[in-house]
Amino acid sequence: MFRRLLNRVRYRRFDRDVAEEMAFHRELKVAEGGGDVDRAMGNELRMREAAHDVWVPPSLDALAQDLRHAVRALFHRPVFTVTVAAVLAVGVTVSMVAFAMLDALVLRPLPVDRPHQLVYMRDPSFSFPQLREVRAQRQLFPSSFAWNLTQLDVRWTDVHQPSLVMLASGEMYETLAIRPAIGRLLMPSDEGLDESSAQAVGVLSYRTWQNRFAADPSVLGRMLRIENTQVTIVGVTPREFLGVSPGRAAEITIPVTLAPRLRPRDARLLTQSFASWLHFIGRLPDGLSVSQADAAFQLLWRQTLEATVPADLAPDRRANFLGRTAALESAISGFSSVRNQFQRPLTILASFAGLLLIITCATVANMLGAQTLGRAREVAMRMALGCGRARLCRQLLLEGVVLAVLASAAALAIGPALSSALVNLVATSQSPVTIDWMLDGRLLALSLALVAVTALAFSIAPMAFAVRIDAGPVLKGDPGRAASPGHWFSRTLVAAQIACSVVLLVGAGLFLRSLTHVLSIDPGFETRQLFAARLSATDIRAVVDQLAATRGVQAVAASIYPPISNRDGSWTQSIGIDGASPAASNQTTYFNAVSPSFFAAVGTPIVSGRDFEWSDTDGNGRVAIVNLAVAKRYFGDASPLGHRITVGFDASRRDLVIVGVAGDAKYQRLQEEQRDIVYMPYLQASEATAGRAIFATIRMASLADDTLQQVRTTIAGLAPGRMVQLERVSDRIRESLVTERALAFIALTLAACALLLSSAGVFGLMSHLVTRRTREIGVRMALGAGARQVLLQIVGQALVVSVAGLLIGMAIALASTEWIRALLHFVSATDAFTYAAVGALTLILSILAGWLPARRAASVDPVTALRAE
Amino acid sequence: MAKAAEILPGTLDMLILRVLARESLHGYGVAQRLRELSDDVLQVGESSLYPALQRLLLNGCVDAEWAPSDNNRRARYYTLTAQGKKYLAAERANFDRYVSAIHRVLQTA
Repeated sequence: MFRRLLNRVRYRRFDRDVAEEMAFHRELKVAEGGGDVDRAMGNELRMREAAHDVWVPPSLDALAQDLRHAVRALFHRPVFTVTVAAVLAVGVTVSMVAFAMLDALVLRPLPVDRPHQLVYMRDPSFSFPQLREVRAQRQLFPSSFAWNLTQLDVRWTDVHQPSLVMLASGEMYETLAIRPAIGRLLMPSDEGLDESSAQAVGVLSYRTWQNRFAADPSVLGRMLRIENTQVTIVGVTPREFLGVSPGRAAEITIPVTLAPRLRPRDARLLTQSFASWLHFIGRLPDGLSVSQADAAFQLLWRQTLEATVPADLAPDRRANFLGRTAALESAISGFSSVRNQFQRPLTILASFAGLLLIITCATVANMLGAQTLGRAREVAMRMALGCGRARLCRQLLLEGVVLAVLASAAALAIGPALSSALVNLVATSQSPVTIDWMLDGRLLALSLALVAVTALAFSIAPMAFAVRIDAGPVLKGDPGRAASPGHWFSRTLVAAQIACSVVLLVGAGLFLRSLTHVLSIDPGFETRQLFAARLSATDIRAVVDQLAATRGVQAVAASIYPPISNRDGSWTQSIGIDGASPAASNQTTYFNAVSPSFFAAVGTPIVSGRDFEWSDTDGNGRVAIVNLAVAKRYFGDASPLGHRITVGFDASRRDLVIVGVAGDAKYQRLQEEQRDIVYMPYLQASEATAGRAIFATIRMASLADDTLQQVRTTIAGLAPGRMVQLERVSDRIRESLVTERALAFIALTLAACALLLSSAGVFGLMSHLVTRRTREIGVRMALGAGARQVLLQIVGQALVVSVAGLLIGMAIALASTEWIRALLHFVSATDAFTYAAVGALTLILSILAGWLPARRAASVDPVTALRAE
Repeated sequence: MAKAAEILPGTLDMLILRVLARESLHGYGVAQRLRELSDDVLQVGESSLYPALQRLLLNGCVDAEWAPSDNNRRARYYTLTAQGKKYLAAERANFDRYVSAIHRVLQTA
């Protein structure tokens, strides 16, 4: 078969060969003088064709002919072709990008050896002693590793920068069977047994090697400073390996046992059984399924808990510790918080993209269908000349394939740009997202499948039209009567378009409503001209005093969490009131350690009691300020002032006296439910503040560049050699809403495309209808129908189609509320306002789309229309 | 010209291969040799000869090469390949069996 296809390409040479051979033959025959040579030879052309057919089967020849014809037919109508291909390209590109991102984050297996054997431990993290026990079980996990991704301060060649660092067991690369790009990867000996035997070495990611070191091979042996530790670079990971956590690619990987040396507060990280900070990935032995392994693992997990439970634990906490469950799950495509964060939004976007693709296919189908009717004469002529219906359909299908190929080529070309734009929409400096757009076999297969499906889908309409064309009347120049096929078909397509776009509109509307709701929430403090700066400094007094003395600063305060802590995390503890044990409570209370005048600086009122003073130090009585939520929960209408709050257990138990009540303010995100918050004086919270960065909250008098520059200079002076991180609190809010904003933005864009296409669909349907019924309308007007009646009738028909689509779309939207409920804040998934707005918008646009052609119909001159008869 | 006979269907390929087994020939040569060898009984028309040659070429039973002919014109010479030889032997065995079967029937019936 392949050789025949090849022959198809080379057929000209064969034809020439045969022709020359025949000429030679003829010459010899003439020379021999065999009488009437012409008669004896017969039809030479036919012989040549017979020989040609041996090489190239006639069906293949016909196919090539049809393909040429299809291309030529499309070239003849460049505007039409470009329009259709562009419409189609939008649908295909969006679907392809949605799939590519879903694939990169969720579906694609890790680029490692036999990824199906990999498992991770739920849920999410465990302590180093626990994982050491688990990893010792070599029958269940022949190889395994513990790991964690964390943002650490890294001094690259000249600049300090918070960078994503992976802490991992030395066995990681062995487990994943990965070879280095250059140098070597981490080995079990690098991890050692504990902190003292850990090797201070690191492995760069390929991307970092390229971006920060220009792929310089002499990078091996160079030293880097990560927080407080010097690390030697020993190798680079291969290009395709982006880590085990899709979407979050570490820049450098170091042995997990280096953790205690990095920061003072991490000093006991390896010995504490409580400190859950590591993830686990293990490789199962050959032939063991994940569920079998999990069954075996359960026993192992109970033994692990028994072995690691601290001896001096109070009974209630001991039970708590031993009650922790864990389970194995397949890690075939890794384990990722980015995935957890974006999986559902991406799945929804992928289904939105699918809907848009359906709409574009329907649009293109209708365009092609209408266009086939326009070509009725051509089609009729071909049929009259003996072209079979099958051949005709094949021809139309080929036109569809050519269009679809054009569209996918465009999609493959603009896809990467679109996808990186999308990533930039959700990635922030605080949480970089790395998604690799790989033009791999899967993506190519997908684009081919899209071509096939779309081409088939939208070629059905023209085919349905074409085969019904009656050649006789058309050729006699009476297309009006001959071309009356498939009106139901177009109507159904348009109704389907409207249904799909209604679903998209409802989704987009809900996301938008949710976002505007969240943005209108009062954070409980004043964001205007408020900035937050992260400082690696220890002396809070100096920070506050020096910043306060800087020109242009109106007020300043310091804390360990800034307003809207977002990705900087939270500090939670259980509390007991007036001596009750915190263990009895299952209410989560959020804590912050703040400097005096914190409340005045951020603009949260102190409702009663006093603010903190610099004299609230360890030496004096421990105090606390609670927010209204705490006051209300535990004291109702009574004053909480003077009551005690108990935190911590046993040796670390502390009693704090409530000295003030502050107004409610948001802690981590704008969209959170109001949280219980307890504030402690910074100088009395040394357990929490040790080794932590200080966040300075600064209210500026103006936003002028030079005053901001002065603040930066002061900050740089307070933490020499560190990068100045100064951001507006309103930007922190925006960043905390990045998923919501991206979702609303993308959904709105898709819905707008959908609305435009479906309105165009109604317009096309009605224009077509008016054109075909010009004569009928003329007759009716001649018989006395008014322009108004005609107008109403046409608009009415448009409305019938769109109301049908609208109802179906709303039914689908209502049926799928379960899907998006989790992504909405303060808005019900059946929000009546949204549905009403979508309904009104759809109806208005379809009336408009019906009205334009209707006006044309109403202005038909009966005499002209009738004369044409 | 003597009375010509139609070539038995399905035997043309075999006959061409047999003729080419002795030497390489161009198309005209094949036709002529067939006629000579069969004392003008077998006449192959150009309309079946050339498609047959193309078919054999496609199936790899013969090779073709352009070379100067006796009268110094360019002509395409066909040569039997190893595969062609095998094919010829098989066809021949088949045909012999077939013919002798017919003979037997004719003689005994």
